[in-house]
Amino acid sequence: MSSLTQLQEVPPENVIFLVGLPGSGKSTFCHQAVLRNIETRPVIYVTTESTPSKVEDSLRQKGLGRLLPHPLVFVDAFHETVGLPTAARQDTVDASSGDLTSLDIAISKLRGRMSENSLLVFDSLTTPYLMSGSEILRFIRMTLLRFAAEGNAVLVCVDEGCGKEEDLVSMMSTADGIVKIELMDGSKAFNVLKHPMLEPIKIEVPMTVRPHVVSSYYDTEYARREAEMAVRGVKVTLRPGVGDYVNIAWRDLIFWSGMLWDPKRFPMMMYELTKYSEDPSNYDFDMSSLFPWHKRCLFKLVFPKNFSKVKDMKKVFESSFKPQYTQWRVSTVEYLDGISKTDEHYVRGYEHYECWGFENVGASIGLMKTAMMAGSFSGMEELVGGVERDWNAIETKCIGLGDPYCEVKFVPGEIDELRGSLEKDRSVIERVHDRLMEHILGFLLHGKPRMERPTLGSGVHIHEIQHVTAAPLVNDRLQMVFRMGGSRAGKMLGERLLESGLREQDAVRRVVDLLEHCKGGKITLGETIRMRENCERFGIKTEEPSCYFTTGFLNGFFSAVKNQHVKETRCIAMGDPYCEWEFR
Amino acid sequence: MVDYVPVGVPGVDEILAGKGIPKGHTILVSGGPGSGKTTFATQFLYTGATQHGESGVYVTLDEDPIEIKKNMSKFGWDLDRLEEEKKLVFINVSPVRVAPSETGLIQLGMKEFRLVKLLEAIRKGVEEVDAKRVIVDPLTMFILQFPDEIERIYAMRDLMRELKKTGCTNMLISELRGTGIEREHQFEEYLAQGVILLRTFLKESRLIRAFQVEKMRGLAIDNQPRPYQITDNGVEVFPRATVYR
Repeated sequence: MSSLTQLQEVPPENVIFLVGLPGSGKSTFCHQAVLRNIETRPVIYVTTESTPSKVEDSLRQKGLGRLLPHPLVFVDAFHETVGLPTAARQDTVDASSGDLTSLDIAISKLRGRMSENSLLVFDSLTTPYLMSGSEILRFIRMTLLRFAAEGNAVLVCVDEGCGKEEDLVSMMSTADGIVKIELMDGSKAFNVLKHPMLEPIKIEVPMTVRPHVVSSYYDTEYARREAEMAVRGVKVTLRPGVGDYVNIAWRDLIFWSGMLWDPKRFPMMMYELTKYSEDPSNYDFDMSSLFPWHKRCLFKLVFPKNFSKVKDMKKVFESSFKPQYTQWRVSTVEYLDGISKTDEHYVRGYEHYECWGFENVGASIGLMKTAMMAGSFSGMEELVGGVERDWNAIETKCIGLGDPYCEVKFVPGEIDELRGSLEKDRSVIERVHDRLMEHILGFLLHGKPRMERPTLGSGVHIHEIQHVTAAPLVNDRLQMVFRMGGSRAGKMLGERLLESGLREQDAVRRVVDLLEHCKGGKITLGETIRMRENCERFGIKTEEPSCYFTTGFLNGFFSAVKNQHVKETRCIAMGDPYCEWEFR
Repeated sequence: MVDYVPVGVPGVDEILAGKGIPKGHTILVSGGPGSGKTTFATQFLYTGATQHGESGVYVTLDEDPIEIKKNMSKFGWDLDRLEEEKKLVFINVSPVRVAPSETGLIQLGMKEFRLVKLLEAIRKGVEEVDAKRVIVDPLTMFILQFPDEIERIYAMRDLMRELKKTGCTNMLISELRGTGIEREHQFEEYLAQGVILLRTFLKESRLIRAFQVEKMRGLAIDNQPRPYQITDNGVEVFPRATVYR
C-alpha cells in the first residue's frame, strides 16, 4: 500500500496539516483526498481561495462522478471574502474568510446534515489567518479540533512562510499530523513530520510520464501468449482457473459505470485512448519480435500494402479479423463489399457483445471495438506499407438504435459525426443502466441466464475486458472514475437486493454467485475477501493495488448491505497470488 | 420537580441544558437595535402555540401589533390565524398609539395606575387564551416612566411578582445599553431570573451576532457567547459554534 494513499485517507478524530509553498500542490493533494474519501464518507470542502465551481470542475477532471456515493458539500468562503455576490448552490453554505465566526457557523450547519465520520478539507487556512491574526489559533482549537473530536477527520492546508513564524509553529503544535510538501528537481516529496498512523517518512513522488498504451502494463509472458493466440489462432487458455471468457454483463457493468462520470467526456476519452493503445506503431515494443521469422513473413503475405481497396480489405477481414472475432466471441463479422468503396469500408457485426442486451435504448452502443479497429488499421497500415494515415470508425447501425445488427464505417481521416455519436445523453445512460440492472437482478433474484447470444454465448474474451479495465493505468483520472462508478453500481445492486427482501447474508451470497457466474474471478469470502484471477487485473503488472472497479464495487455493495468498507491490500497485478480486500 | 418550557428557537434549548426556561420564571431578553429581540420573542410565542400547545400573550408597549404581525409574516408566521384560533393575544399598551381595543388601552396618567392597568390587561389576556407564555416588549418603555431609580426597582419588582402569579413563563424585552463585550450591567438583569443577551458587534465592517445566556437560575447552562443568525425562518443560534473576534 503506498504511503501517499494512506496519507490521503485521513484517520477520524485527527487534524492533519499540509504545509507547503504556494503552488507546491496542496490543493491537488486535497482534491485527491476528496476523491479517495468520498467513496467511504461525506466530505465538507471549505474553499477560501477558489470558487466551489472551480474546485468541482477540477474534481470532475480528476474523475469525480455526478452521482456520488456520499455527499460532497462546500463552504464557500471565497465569494464573500472578495466581495462577489455568492452563487446560489444547493450544496454550498456561504461564509467569509475574514470572519471566523461565519466559518464556524457554516461548519456547524453542515455538521447537522452529515453523519459522523466526515472529512473536512480546509483549503486553505492562509487567508483566514492573514485576516484574523492569532485568533486563528482559537479557531483551530475551538472549531477544527472540536470537529475532529466529534469523530471526523480534518485536513488543513496552510502556506509555508505566511505570517509570523511563531504563529505557524503554534498552529502546527495543535495538529495530530504534519505533512510538508517539498519540491525538488524533477520530483516532489511529502515529508511526513508527524502522523497518527505513519512513522516519520519522506515519500518521494517522481514526476514520471506514464506510458500511453495499455499494452505497456501487460505482463510480458501474458502479452506473448495473447499475441500468439491472436495471430496464430491457436487455442490458449490464459486464465487456468476460471477460463478466458467473461460474461458480457460484467463487462457492461464496468464500462457503463465509467460512463456515469461524464457521458460526454468518458466515451471520447475511451475512444481516443483505446485507438491509440491498439495502434501497433505506438507500442513500446516490437510486436513482431514475439514471433519467429516465418510467422513474420506470413504476416506480410496476409496484409496488403495499404488498406484502400475493397478487395484487399475483404481479404484482410476474411482471413484475419473474422476468425479472431469469432474466437474471442466479439461478434460475427462480415465485410460489406457491396457498399464499401475505396477508402470507405463497411463491416457488419452480428451479436456484437457491446450492444447485446441494449436493444432500442436510443443510441449506438459500440465504442471499444470500433476504436480498437480504427487503431489497428492506422498502425498496421503503417507497419506493412509505410503509409501513415489516421483511420477512424463509427457505428452507422446498432442494436441500440433498433437495428438487428451493428455496422461500422471505416475511413482514413476525421469523421465529423463521430463526437456526436460517441457522446451520450443522460437519458440514454439511464436507460442503459436500467436495462443492465434488469439483466443483473434477473439473474440475482430469479436465476435467469445472462446475456445469452444465439451463436456466440454470453462470454467475451478477457482481452476485451482489459481494454476497459487497463485504461485507468494509462490515464490517472480514470482511476477514480472506475472506483466511483464501481461504488455506485455496487451500492445500487446492494440496495435493490435488500429492497427485494433478501437478508444481508443472502445478498452477499448472491453477489458472490454473480461474480462466479460471470467469471469475473473466483471469490473466497472469509475474514477478508479474496479473489483469484480477477479479470480486471489478470495478466497486468502494477506497483500498487489497482483493482479500481472491483474495489469500488465491493465498497459500494458492502456499505449498502452491511455498512462496511473494504480496502484492497493485495493484488495479482503486484504479483500476489490473489487480490485481497480487508474490511474496515 | 421543576418543569421546563422549551424556547423553540433552534439551538437555544441546547444551550439551556437541553431543557428550556424553568416554568414560571421571568427572564430578560436584552439586545441592541436590530438584534432580533422581537423576532426572538415572537418565535418563543409562535413555537409555543404551534408546537407545544401553549398559548401566549404579547404585550406591546411601543410598536403597533399590526406592524409586528406584518414584520413577522416574512418568517412565515401567521399571527393573525393564531389570534383567531385563540392561541395568541396582543395587548397594545403603546402610549403613542391610542386606539380602543377589547383588552383595554392605557392612557397616560399616574404611574401606579399605569402599572395596575398594565397588570390588569396582562391578567385579562392570560385568562382570555389560557396563556402559558407572556412577552412584554419593550420593558424599557415601562421603566422610563420612573425617573427615580428606587421607584424603578420597586416597579420592576411589582411587575415581576404579579407576572409570577399568572403562572406563565415570561420574557421581558429590553434595550441593551452598550453592546460591546465590555458593558455595565443593568439593574433589571439582577432582578430577572434569567438573562439572555443578543449582542452585535462589528469586525472589519462585518456584523457579528452573539447570543449569550448570562444567567438562568436553576439550570447548568452554557454561558459562553454563541453565534446566531436571523434567517428566513427566524433566529437560529449555533450552540456548538464559537464567536471569534
